[in-house]
Amino acid sequence: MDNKSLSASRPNAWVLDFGPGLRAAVGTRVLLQITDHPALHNIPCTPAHCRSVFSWQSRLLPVMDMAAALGGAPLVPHLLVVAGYVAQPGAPTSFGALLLASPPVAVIAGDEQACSLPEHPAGWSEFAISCFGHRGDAIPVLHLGRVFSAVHPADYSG
Amino acid sequence: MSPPLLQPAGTGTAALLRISRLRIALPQGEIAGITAAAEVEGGDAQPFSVGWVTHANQRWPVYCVSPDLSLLIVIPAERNACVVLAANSGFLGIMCDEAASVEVAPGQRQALPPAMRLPESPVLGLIALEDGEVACASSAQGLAAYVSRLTGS
Repeated sequence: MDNKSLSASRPNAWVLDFGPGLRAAVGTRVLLQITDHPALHNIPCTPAHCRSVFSWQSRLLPVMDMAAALGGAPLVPHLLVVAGYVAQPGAPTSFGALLLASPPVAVIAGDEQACSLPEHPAGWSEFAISCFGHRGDAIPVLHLGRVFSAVHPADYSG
Repeated sequence: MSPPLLQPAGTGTAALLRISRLRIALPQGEIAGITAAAEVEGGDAQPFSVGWVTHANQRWPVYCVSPDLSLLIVIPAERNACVVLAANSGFLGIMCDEAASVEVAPGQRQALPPAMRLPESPVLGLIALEDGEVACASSAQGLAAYVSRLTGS
């Protein structure tokens, strides 16, 4: 078995479900842990999409609710994944947590599937670096450095 | 020399206030005194305050907050104490359920993640407590500015 056929047959992305009509992908090496009914600590005076932290390996990780960040209703926090990412080349690995509506699904995605970002919600352009088609849906690929970066301008609108 | 009021509770000894499920850690040096809730005078309170506390021969306004840091005008039964904080050139009182001193090791403290920061928030950092809870690191001046902004004073 050559390497080409091996890599082509293995999933290389996780599709994450943030609620109805809100799915996005990250690389398979990004997700480090999935937790059912996580114990979260609410932090006051924080944005609606990032109101709590999750204690993981001696770190307190920000818990991102992408549904809320994209203007939808907040998710009930019953499923959470821990993600590790490098925000920019040369930077150390950072960690964050994402709330999910259902468990992640492994898929195979290639350049030939590239497509435009969904027009709605408009916030995808802020969080995604690319997009691919999968079973008739456009799946944005998240840039986690952007997702977990400073508060987004929309949060100031009240 | 006065302690640096702008600094949130860091490593070393911090004052830990319990306010229902919320924990707030402040630099120990910013605590000017602690009184029983019964000693808070309730009459003629300033808007959105719950009364007055006497400290250094003067009366200072006392505020009561919820776990999400909203201002309450009725004191919940579990608020047993009033912590007097030194902020700016004066003092203010904050009601809490309990106040204690805790030692904070360097590994327990971390900055507030960038995605969680809002302008004018009094929460400046996070502290992982030994009992598994999480405290919000703040400062007397940060809390005073936050209260002042909410009350418009």
